[in-house]
Amino acid sequence: MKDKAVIESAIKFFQNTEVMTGMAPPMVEEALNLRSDEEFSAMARSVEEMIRNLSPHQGQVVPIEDVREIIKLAGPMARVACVCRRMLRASFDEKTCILVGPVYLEYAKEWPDFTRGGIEYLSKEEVLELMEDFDRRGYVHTFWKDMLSPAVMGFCNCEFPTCAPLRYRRNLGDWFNFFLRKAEYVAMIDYDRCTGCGRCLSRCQFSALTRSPYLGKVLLDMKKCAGCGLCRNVCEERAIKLVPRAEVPAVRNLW
Amino acid sequence: MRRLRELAVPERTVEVRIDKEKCDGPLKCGKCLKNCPAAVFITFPKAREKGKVCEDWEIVADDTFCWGCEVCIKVCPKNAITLSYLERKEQL
Repeated sequence: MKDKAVIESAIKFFQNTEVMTGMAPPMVEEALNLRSDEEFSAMARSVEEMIRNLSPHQGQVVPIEDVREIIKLAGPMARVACVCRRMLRASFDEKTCILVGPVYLEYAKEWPDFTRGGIEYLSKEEVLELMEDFDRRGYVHTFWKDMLSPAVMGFCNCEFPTCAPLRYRRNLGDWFNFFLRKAEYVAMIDYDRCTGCGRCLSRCQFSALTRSPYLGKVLLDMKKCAGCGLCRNVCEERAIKLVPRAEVPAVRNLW
Repeated sequence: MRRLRELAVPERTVEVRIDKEKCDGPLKCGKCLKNCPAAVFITFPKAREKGKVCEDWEIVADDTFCWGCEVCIKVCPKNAITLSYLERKEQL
């Protein structure tokens, strides 16, 4: 966090968030009016402070088996239109976000603009069925908590490029990981089993899979893999498995 | 300010301009938003007030992500979008 590069990327993040959400943190406005080097370093310090105060764990990719476990523990749940798709597609019909717990349900009621398209209350069984359906359709599941408090926000079902955090991670680089983290798992291909059919290719939203015509196999860039498990779910040869990230030394600390 | 902008924003090669006078807005039309493969266009309500729904939304283009396919120009019924291409500042 002390790196100048990190601070600079943080400024980049806040600038993009400003454009993205229309919710300008006052800091960005300040940053754009800076004149001297002293002002710049003062600004950089406050950004560093801000990142330190934000929880480093706001959203994380979760594979479907983790989704099942979380739903068992979850409180009241409702389905609303995707917040990112609202901003990037002006679409309010596809309700792919699932609010979990009373805090955000209350917020949703107070801000009808945030939940254009309506709030649809669901039981645990209905949510589970819905999430399995999203999995079949190829959405990446993510689980979110509040930026400034430990309140749980809910599940999102994301895709590139209309999921803001996913898009920004892919387009701007991995420094964005303080907003969206990879899963606790990473996919691994059993190359003896892989037939190179390429069915999994269309499922990867993180551009981690390529089919090599020379080897006749699908190659997985484990440094890019977010461990969502979508490719594994369509592999007919059962050649892809999810292994805990902690057990793979090379990517253990890549979030 | 210039220095900050340079370090903070990835290099742009395309500039997307929306003519706000011709544009019908995202709620009436929104074709550029729905068709852009890179999801360059961003929309948000102009006013935020608790308990109220805003019908006046703003469109902006985050053209650092633009791939230059020109789909938006083809789908815009009012010809409100123009693209201009920027020269690279330096070769790597």
